[in-house]
Amino acid sequence: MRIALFATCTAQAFRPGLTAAGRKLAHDLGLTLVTPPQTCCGLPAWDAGRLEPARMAARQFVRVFAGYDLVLTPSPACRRMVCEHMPVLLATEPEAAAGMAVAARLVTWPAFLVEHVGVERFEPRFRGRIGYFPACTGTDEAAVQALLARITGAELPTVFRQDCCGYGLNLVWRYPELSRAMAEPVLMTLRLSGAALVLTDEVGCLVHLLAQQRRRPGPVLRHLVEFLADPDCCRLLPQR
Amino acid sequence: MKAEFSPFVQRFMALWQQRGGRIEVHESQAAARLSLLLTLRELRVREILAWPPAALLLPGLTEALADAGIALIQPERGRLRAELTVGLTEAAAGLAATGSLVLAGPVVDAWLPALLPVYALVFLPIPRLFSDLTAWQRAQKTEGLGRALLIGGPSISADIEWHAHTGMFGPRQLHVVLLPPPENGELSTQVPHEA
Amino acid sequence: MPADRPTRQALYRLGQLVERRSPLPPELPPAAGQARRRVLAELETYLNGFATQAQAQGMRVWWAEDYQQADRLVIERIRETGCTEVLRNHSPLFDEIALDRAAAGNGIKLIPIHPGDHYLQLTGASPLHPIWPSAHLGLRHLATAMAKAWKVPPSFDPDLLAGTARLRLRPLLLAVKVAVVGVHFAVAADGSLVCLDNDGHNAHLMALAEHLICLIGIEQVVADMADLELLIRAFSLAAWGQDQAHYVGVIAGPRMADGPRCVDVILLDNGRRRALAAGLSVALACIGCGACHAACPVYRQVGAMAYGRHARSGPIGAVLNPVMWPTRRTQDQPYLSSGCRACAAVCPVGIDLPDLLARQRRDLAARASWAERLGFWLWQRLLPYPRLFIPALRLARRLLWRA
Repeated sequence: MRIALFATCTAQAFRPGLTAAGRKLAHDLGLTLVTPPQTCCGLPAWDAGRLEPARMAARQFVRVFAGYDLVLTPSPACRRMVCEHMPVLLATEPEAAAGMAVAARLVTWPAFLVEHVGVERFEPRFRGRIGYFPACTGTDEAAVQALLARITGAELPTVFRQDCCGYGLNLVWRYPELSRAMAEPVLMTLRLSGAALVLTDEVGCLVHLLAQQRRRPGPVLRHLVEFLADPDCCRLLPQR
Repeated sequence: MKAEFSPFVQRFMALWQQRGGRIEVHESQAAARLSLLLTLRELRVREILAWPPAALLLPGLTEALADAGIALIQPERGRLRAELTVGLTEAAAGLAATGSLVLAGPVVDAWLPALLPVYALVFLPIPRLFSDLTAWQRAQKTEGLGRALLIGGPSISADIEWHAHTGMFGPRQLHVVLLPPPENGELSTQVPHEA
Repeated sequence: MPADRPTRQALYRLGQLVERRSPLPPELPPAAGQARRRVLAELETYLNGFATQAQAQGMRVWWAEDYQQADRLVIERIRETGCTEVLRNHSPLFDEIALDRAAAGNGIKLIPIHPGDHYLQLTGASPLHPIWPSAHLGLRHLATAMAKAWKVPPSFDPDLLAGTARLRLRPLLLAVKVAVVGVHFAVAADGSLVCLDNDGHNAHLMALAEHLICLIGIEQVVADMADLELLIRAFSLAAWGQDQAHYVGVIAGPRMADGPRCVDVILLDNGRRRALAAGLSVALACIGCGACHAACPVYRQVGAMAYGRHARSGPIGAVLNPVMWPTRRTQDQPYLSSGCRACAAVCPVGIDLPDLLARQRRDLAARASWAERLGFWLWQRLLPYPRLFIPALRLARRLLWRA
């Protein structure tokens, strides 16, 4: 199975370690993961109502990711862009059919790990309270629960109530003080929960919350992939 | 069929109580009369703001009240008697779908005993229970609703930091008395309809 | 741009309160939405039907093209009565037409009889939310304002405060002669007007006032009784988490027996027809429950005041304001969204707010600033080159977030 990594421009620019962790995890699981040269799915342009740049990004996206069996991404927001908005953008373009095909093969990490790898290959361990922050853009909570259930040693892995951390692109670029203010109640919830570690499958939320948290007390924030790729946190069992 | 088992009655009672209202149902007019007198004795009032025809729904009630030294005071424009703490009136209908009372009719003063006092008693004869507003309107055989007031529960407000407060502009306690159908098969009073 | 701390705390509480409610029954938004869209598709027909029925009942029907005309119509009606002290109920329509200001400017004392609105007048504050206008006024702040205005000793018990308000407001209510009433729905089939509340102030006004001057937006017409029942339920669930408002008042024409001797109804356009012409009829299905506000994480940081005192607030405001109240400030409102879609999940008439916001943004993109145009031109040029695009993104963020 040829798998491509749709790293997202957010991760490439602001969390390159996440891309490296994804590649490492795939390698350790014995999978062939390719990271083709890529930039952006076009969500910032689409969010701003600029259809021409968004369409250009969509066509580029299809050219980069066509032909793979599966495309993996660490961002439900970007996945939603590709699956919901891209088909409309490309409807009258030559890339229309290819676009639909790519969209159908695009998955986020939790869904991929549960459906294509199998939870039984993971033995995550953590001492302390662990929490999960679901993205308002569409975390697959069933898959997340299945993965959290594999964690041994941790206290009460809780999936927090869905809330918006403020990383919406229109806010980030036009109302940054509002975007920052929206992270506060979320960080407070995470802090008050007493969790030592909070995971998420949305790189946008991760980057934004980390930037707002700065050096204040609170849980360590990591992407789910970073956690699973970390040999100190998770042991990977060979494929049967 | 016993009144208690009618699905309309059951649903109405359940919804009414859920919203903080008080409700009782009686099988006989005598039982209803007795219960009402007991309630009024507990409330220790000498005067009730009332819509007199409502009292006629329970034959013998007006006399019993007179014997007990309780006067029925009808509200008038210019003399609303808004300081009276207990009110008595009748509902034109009850709606089972939403558990609400319908006060209707061209005489709006009939509504005041359910709006002005702190404790409002409302008679609702069981034959006046309908499934919903549309059903009641159809039964009226009039084009529209005309003027009406649907009451779903006591007066509640939450304007100060969401603190729940009762009785700002309406009763704190709404007490519905479901009256059994009259023994002779006819209503002892007619609800005045919109012409 | 975020509101002050007490307001944000109140907004946080509002979010919590609304979140604890059970979700809407799934069949309700499609049914309620369909009822609304059916009427909006032929709004003029239903409006004329309502006007005919209302007039047949003896109501006087007036049409206000804009808020200035609505103010003039209300003031004229009040002048006809000879009264200079008039009550008004709670309705966001009054903020829309700035009636308080118009009345004051015309020597008319307009008293908000709804306690929340009255507290706003006492403290000079702006409303927080269409259903909960005064919930952000701190207990101490309100107590102090009441003590000052009414010369009563301050109390920090909310029940005592409410009791004090009742002592002051109830006599006014019982003595009412003329009332200006913002209504929720107009029933086209029979010409009646419907008000909803839980505290009973509308019922008192309906029963006791001699003259009712009713105000309603033209989009708030419903077809018939069946529609009305459905929408009362939708509104009550979405606004208060109750399946029924405690008081639903149905206002009919004046009668000779008793009740009001004169009923006027003013139908307000003020940009609604413009919104219809702009293809926003779906958005005009809004029944004003405020649920989208409480669900919106952006609104919960800024409150209703941020959208403009006389404009609509919250996500629905962000959709309608650029067309209904086009100003420089309202042009930016469709960007006040994080894309979380919480609003769509709670709308009782099934309005796809995120989709409408995106549509508005597409329309606004044509009027973007040169800086934004330059930004996207660069974005497009660098898109095929990761080695330029990614560092440029880092730089842009550092620059913009320091600004």
